[in-house]
Amino acid sequence: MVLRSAIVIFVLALLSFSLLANSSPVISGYVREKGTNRPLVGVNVYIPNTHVGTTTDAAGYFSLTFPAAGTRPTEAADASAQASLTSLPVTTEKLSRPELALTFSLVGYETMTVAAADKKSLTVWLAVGQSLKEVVVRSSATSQRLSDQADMGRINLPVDQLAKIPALLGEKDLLKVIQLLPGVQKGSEGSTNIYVRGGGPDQNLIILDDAVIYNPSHLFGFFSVFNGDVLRNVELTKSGFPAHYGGRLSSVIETTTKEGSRETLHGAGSVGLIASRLTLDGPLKAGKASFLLSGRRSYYGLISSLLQPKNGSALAANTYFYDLNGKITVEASPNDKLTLSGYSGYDDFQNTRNVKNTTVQSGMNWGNTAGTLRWQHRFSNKLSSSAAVLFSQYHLRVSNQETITNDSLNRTYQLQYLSGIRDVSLKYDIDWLAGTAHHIRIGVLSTYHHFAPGAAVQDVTTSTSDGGLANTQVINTIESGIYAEDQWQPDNHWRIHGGLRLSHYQHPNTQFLRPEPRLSVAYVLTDNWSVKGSYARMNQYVHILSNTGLGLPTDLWVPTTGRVKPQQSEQIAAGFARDFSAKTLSLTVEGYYKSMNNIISFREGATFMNPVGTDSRWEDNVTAGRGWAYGAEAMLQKRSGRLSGWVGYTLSWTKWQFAELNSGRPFFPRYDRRHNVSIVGIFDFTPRLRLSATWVYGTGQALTLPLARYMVNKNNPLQLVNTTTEGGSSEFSRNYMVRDYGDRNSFRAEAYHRLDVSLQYQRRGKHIESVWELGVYNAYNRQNPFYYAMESQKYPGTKVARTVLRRYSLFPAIPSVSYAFKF
Amino acid sequence: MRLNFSRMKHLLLIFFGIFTFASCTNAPEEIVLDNLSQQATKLVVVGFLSPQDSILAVKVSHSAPIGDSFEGSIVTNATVLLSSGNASIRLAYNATSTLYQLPAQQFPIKNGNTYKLTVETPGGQRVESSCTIPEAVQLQQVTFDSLTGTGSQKQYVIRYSWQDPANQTNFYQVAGAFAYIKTAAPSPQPTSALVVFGTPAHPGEFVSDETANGGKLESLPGLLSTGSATQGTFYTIYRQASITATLLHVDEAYYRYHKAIELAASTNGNPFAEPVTIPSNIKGGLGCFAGYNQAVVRVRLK
Repeated sequence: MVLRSAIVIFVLALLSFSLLANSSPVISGYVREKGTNRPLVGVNVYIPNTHVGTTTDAAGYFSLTFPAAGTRPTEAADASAQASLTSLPVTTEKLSRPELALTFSLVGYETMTVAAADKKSLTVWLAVGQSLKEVVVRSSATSQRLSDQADMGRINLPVDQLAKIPALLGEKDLLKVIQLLPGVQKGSEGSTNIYVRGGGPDQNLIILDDAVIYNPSHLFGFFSVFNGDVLRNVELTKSGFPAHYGGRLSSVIETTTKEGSRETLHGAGSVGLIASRLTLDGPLKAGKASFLLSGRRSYYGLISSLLQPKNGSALAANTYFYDLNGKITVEASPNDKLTLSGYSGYDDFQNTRNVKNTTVQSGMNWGNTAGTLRWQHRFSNKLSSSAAVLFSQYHLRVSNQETITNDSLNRTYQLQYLSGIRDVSLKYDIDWLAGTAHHIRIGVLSTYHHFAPGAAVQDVTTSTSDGGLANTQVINTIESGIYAEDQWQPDNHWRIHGGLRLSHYQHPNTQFLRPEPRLSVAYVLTDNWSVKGSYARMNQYVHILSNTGLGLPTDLWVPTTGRVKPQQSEQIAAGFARDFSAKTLSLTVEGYYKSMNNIISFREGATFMNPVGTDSRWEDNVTAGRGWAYGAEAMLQKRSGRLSGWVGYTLSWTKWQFAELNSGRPFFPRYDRRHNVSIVGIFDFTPRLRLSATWVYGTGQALTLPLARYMVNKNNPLQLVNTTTEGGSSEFSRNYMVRDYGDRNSFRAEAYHRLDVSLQYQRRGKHIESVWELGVYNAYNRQNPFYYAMESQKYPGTKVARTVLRRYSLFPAIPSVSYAFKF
Repeated sequence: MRLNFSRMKHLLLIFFGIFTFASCTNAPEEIVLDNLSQQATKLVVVGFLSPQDSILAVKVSHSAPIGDSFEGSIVTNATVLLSSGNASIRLAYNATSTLYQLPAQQFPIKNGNTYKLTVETPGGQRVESSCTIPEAVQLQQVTFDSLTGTGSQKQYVIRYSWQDPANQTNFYQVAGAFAYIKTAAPSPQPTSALVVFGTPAHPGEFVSDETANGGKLESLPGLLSTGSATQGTFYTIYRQASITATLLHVDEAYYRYHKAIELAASTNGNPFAEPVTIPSNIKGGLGCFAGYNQAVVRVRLK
C-alpha cells in the first residue's frame, strides 16, 4: 500500500514537471580550458549581483534562463557579491549591459565576465591562473557561496589541491585527504578506509566515471587506487543524498577522470619513494577526439629487498602494485559525445619460506577493473541525456602451498581461495532545465551482480572429497533503481532539492522493492547566512564481511540473500552555512542523526576462512543487528590568500546492537571516535616556495581486549604411551593459553594524533613545470597504537612471568622526497 | 571459506613484515592502563567424566589478569567435591599429576546420570558445575580407502560411520591410532601414530549432527600415510597394520569448549582475528566440566 502510493506520487511528480513551461530568455554554451580546449566541469556560471546561476556539466556545458524582467533583482541587491567580484581579477568583454552579463569562475582559473546580450549560445575559454591563491576545499553548487545551496553534507575537492597536502612517503592519496574532512573518520593507522557518520567502509559508494570500485586499496589499504594525475573532479556527499545516487547507506565519493587535451600533447609524472607515475594526453583528431593514458607502478619490493637482511625471503622483490587509467573522448557532433574510459589495478605478494622440514609458498593478489562507455546527447539547450554501459570487477586470490617432509607422512597442502564480484550495469539519465526555477533529472540504473564469495578451494590431501564444493557459492542478482529529482529555486530565499528513488533487488530466492524519498531544503537569510535541513532514506543490497576492521583485501563482498536482509538507513541533518565574503572565509555547522538496520557482522570467533561446520557457508558466519549514529560537525575554511586551508571538528557517537553479540547489549563499533579534529594549512612564502602541514587528532578506537590469561586443556581420548602402544584411558592434553575478554569493544585505545609537514619548491621552465617536495609523516614521532597484544614478560633471572599489555605502533617519523613534473 | 587461520597467520605476519623497515625503530611498549588494572583472578576448572575412565581427574588453576604474575597457576589446596544424587566424594590433590584425582571404582560414572562438581579454595572462592553422561554410540563401520592426490601421490585414509540417535542434538569426537611395522625401515619394529581427521584447513575431529540429525554420520577422512606408486602397495609398505578406532559421544559443553580451543589455537597470535571467547559452564569461574561416553573398535588392515 505504501509502495503503491509512492508510485502514484512518483508518476504525479513526473507529470507535474512537464507543466513547468517557461518562455524566459535562455543562454547556453560551453566553457573550455584555454590552450587545451578541454571542457571544464563545475564552472560557476552566474549573473553578476544576483542569486541566479548554474554550473557546467561533465561536457563543460551550461544552460541558464534569465529571470523575467520583473523578478530580476536589482544591482544593489547583494553588496557582498560585488565585493567578492572586485577582489578577483575580472576580464571584461564589452560590458555594456551588466545585467545581461555572465560571470564564469572556477578554482585554478581566471574569473571572466562576458556580455551575454543578444546571444543564444557562446563558448568561453578560461585561462589557467591564480594557482597559488586558490580555494583548497570548497563546496560545489550553483554559486560560490555555501549559503546559497540547498544541498548539505556535500564537499567538492579540487584535485589540483591534492598535490599540496603532505602524504605518507610523499604518495598523494585522495582517500587520505577525504579523511581530513569533518564527518569522515579514519580506521587504523595508515588505512584508506573511510567511515562516514558512523557508517562502515562498505557503506560508501565509491565510483570512478560511474563504475563502482569495490576495493579502493593498494598495499593492504595503505594507499588507494586513485591516481591524482588523472582525476578531474571529486565530490563527497555525506547526507541529503540526491535521488540519482543509491545503493549505499553512508556516503558517495564520486570521482571523474580528466579528458585528454584536444589540441596538443601534454604529460605529467612523478617519482617518489614508493611509486612512480606517468600520464600522457593529447589529441587523436585535432579538436574532435582526444586520449589520456596513465600508469603508476610501485617498486616497494626493490627498495625493501636492499634494506632487509638476506634471510632467504623472496617476498620483497615479488611485491608490487600497479594502476592503469585510460580515456578516449570523441565529439561525434556538436550534440553527441562518446567516451570510453577504463581502469585496471593489481596488487601482488609472493613469498617462499623454509621452516624446519616445511616449505611454505604463499601468495596473495587482488585487483579492480572498471570500465565505462558513455554516449551523451543534447536534444536542445535545455534537454540532454546520457546513456552508459558500466563494468566493475574485483577479484582476490590467496594461495598457500605447504610441503611437510616427514618420515612416514609426506604431505602437501595446497589451498586456493578465490573470491570476487563482477558487475555489468546499464544507466540512462535525462537532464532537463525547466525554466529558471527547475532543474530536473530522471534516470534508471540496472546492475547485474555476479558474486563468488569463496568460490573455489583445493586441498590436495582431500582433493576428491573437496572437489565438489567448488563454485557452490556463486550467486547472481539484479539491482535496479529508477529516480526523479528536482532542484527547485522558487524565489531568492528558498532552495529545494527533492526526489524519489525506487530501488529493486532480485535474488533467486527473494526480492525487494523499496521507495527512497530524499529532500534537502535551504532558506537563505540576509548577510550570507542560510539554514538547511535534509532527509534521506537509503537501501544497500551488497555488504562487506570484515573480520579485521582493517580494510584488508580479504574483506568479502556478499549479496543480500533470503537470509541476509538489505541494509537500510534513515538520516536527518540540519545546519547552517555562513560566508564571510571579505575574508574568503566560510563556516558550516551541521548536526545529524542516522539509524541503520540490518547491518551485518561476523559471529564471535569467526574468520572468513574458518569453517565453523563441515558445510559452512559465509551466511552461517553472519549475524545481523542495528546501529545508530549522531553527532555534529563544524568546518571553517579559508579559501584563498597566501594562507589557505581549513579546520574541521567532529563530535560523534556510533552504537551497534546485535542480538548475538555482546549478549544483546549495545556496544561501540571499533571505529567509533568521540572527537575528531583536522587542521590543514597551506602557506605560500613566495610563488615558488610553499609550506603545508596537517594535524589530526582522534579519540582512540573501541577495542575488545583480553583482561586475563588462563590455561585450559583438551581431553585426549587416545595417547601414544610409547611408540608401540596407546594408552587406554583419556588424559588431559597439553596446556593451551587462552584469554578472558571483557565486554565487547569496552576498551578505548589511546588517542591518535599526528603532524605531517611538507615543503614544496616549484620551478616553471619554458615548457616544463616541476616540483620538488620534502616531507615528514608523523613529524613528532607519536607512537600511535596500531594494535595491543597481551604477552608475558619474564622477571629477569627468574622463571616467573608477568602478564602485560603491549602497544604496537606502525609508523614512526618518516621522511620522504619526491619529484613531479608537468608539460 | 576453508583456509585455516594458522596458515593465514603466517601470511598475514609476512605481509605486515613488509613494514618492518618503517616500524623497526618502534619497539612495542608496555602500557599501564588505569581502567584495566585490579582485575580479580578467577578459578579455572577443567574436568571430563566418562564411564570408561579408570581415574577421575579435575584440574584447578587460576587466571592471570593484566599486571599479575603468572607463576604456576595451579591451585593445590582446593576442596574438590563430586556428587551424584545423595552420594558425594572428595577428589584429592596429586602433586605429581597436578590434578585432583580419584580411582574410578570408588565412584563409578554411569550412563544418563548427572554429576555435580564444586570447587572451593581456602580463600573463599567457590565455583560449581554439573554434567550428564551421554549414552555410548557404537561405530558401525571403519572403511579403509585410498585417495589419489596430485601426481603419483596416493593417500591412505580411514573413515568412520555410525548411526546418530534421533530426536536429540548429538556431538561427537573421533580419534584413531594407526599401528604398523614399516618393512623398508632399517630395523623394522612396531610403531604407532595418531590419525589426523580432516585437514588443517578443514579439521574433522569434532562432529555435530546439526546437518543430518537421526541419520547415518560419517567422519572426514583420517589420514594414515602418503605413498607413491613406485613404493608398491600399502601392504608391501606396512606389515601388521591395525587401527584403534574410537568414537566419543560428548555433551554440548564438551563440543563447544573443544571447538573454541581449536579456533583460539588457530588464531592465536593473529591480532586481527575476532576474539574467541572460550565458552564456560563453570558458574562463577572459567573452564569446562563435561561428560562423554566412548566406544572403541580395533581393526586389522589386511
